[in-house]
Amino acid sequence: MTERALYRTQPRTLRALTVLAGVGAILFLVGLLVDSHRAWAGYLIGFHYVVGLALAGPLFIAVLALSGARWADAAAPVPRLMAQRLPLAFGLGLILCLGIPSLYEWSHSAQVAQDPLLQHKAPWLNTGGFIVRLLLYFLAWYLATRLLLRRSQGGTRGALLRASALFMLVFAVGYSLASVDWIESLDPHWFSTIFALYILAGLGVSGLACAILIFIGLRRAGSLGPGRHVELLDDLGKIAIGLTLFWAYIWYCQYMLIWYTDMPEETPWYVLRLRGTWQSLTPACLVLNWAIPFLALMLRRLRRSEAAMARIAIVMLIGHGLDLYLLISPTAHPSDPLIGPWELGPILLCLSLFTLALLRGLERRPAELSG
Amino acid sequence: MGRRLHVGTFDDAHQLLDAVHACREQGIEIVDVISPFPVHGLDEAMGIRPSRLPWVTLVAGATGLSLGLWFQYWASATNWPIDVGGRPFDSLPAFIVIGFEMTILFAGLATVAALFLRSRLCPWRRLRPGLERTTDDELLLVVRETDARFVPGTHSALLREHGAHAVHEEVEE
Repeated sequence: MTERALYRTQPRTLRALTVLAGVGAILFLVGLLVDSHRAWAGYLIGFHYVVGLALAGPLFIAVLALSGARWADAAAPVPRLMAQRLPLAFGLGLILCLGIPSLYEWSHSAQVAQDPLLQHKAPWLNTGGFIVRLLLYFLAWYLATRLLLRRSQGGTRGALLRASALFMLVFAVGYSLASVDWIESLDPHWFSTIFALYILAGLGVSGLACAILIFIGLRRAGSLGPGRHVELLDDLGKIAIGLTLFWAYIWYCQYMLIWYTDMPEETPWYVLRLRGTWQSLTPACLVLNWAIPFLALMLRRLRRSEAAMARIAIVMLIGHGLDLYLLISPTAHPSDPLIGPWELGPILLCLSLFTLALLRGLERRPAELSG
Repeated sequence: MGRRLHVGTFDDAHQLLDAVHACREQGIEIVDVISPFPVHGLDEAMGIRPSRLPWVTLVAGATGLSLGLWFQYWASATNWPIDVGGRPFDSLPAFIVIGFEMTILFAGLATVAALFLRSRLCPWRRLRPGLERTTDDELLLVVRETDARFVPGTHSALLREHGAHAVHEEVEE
């Protein structure tokens, strides 16, 4: 095992990221005083973004192991690096618990008292339950991820397969429930049985885009072992086509069923997002998350170019941010879309902490990254 | 008069790739490679142009999508408008599923048809005797003997040197 760091970040970059995180933190704190609804909505976007990126790491490891794939072996450090960010996501989750009263209608006993539906849902949707479940999700994910990371570094193939299967189970159940807790319950009167799958599709798209960026960065730094890196990039691009298509498919499945049945308890969610100024953001979300990456990735020339793939990945990451914004913010300020310092501050805080931890992770424990 | 072909039989894809590279370096003309599975990097090594099949898929898919959307629009908004729960007759969300299916149907059938036509495959075509193992675990590299570089034995020696366990000669028809 080598102890040489895979990549050394310029101290300047680390300082810049620290400053960005500090600015984000200050904007978040000021935002809490000025307009706590918007600040917490922004924080939830940033938190959910980071959780998705961190969980995508073990998810990719488990999927590759279960399907017996060897094509991505040269990129093995990438998902490991993402997986190690789970404790950071947990830390952000603990802070989120402070925002429950600002974010979730069901946490106010006065409102629950006048609302039979909220009373009916109270055994699940209550502050204590929310916090306990959040702790349980992260505990289960962390233990399953740790086991998976160990098994993928040595030991028998059978043990790796068992650890992968265990992670998939823990992840699928936990992430489905978490998507209901954290996002769907923002509007506790609304429900959609496909919602968890939609959130999962977003995790896949953003996680893969992040993995592509890390892969390109490590390859440019010459940190990856020998391998057919262009072929690997091409293959990552092909999977990205599939995942963006999957995301769009699930988006449309949810929309089409609600549009067709036209039930008064289901439509308000879309009515809010397709009226007023919100109306233009929904097509923009589809263009960024699906149309641009889907069409661009069809061209083999672009899939095999690092510069083009990095740009496509950035479009996908911005698209995912907009996707989360459209999921979360309309309930915080239904009248019109607002994107200002109070949203951007906490998002900046979470994402720059994640990037900082990613770069630090490359230096600190290089032995844990090798596949 | 036909020229002679040398057919090398390989068990290992890496050795086959080496042999292909060596032939290209020596200026030996590669007629074809027959393999039961896709070999990574073989197309580049043989210097084959990228396949034009995706364009058939794209054009057929776009045709299917347009036809599907147009027919539904014509049927439900022009020819026989029916009020379904007060929705507009030309409701795009309702047309997407069938448009999507038509895209896949046209693209899939056209791709298979184009592949069969281009490679002259058809259900009643029989495999040449002696090539049965090329659909199982055997890889063949076929090179042509050219007059300019004719030294007897060069071709088969080169193939053997790169791991061919058998080389036989055939006269081109």
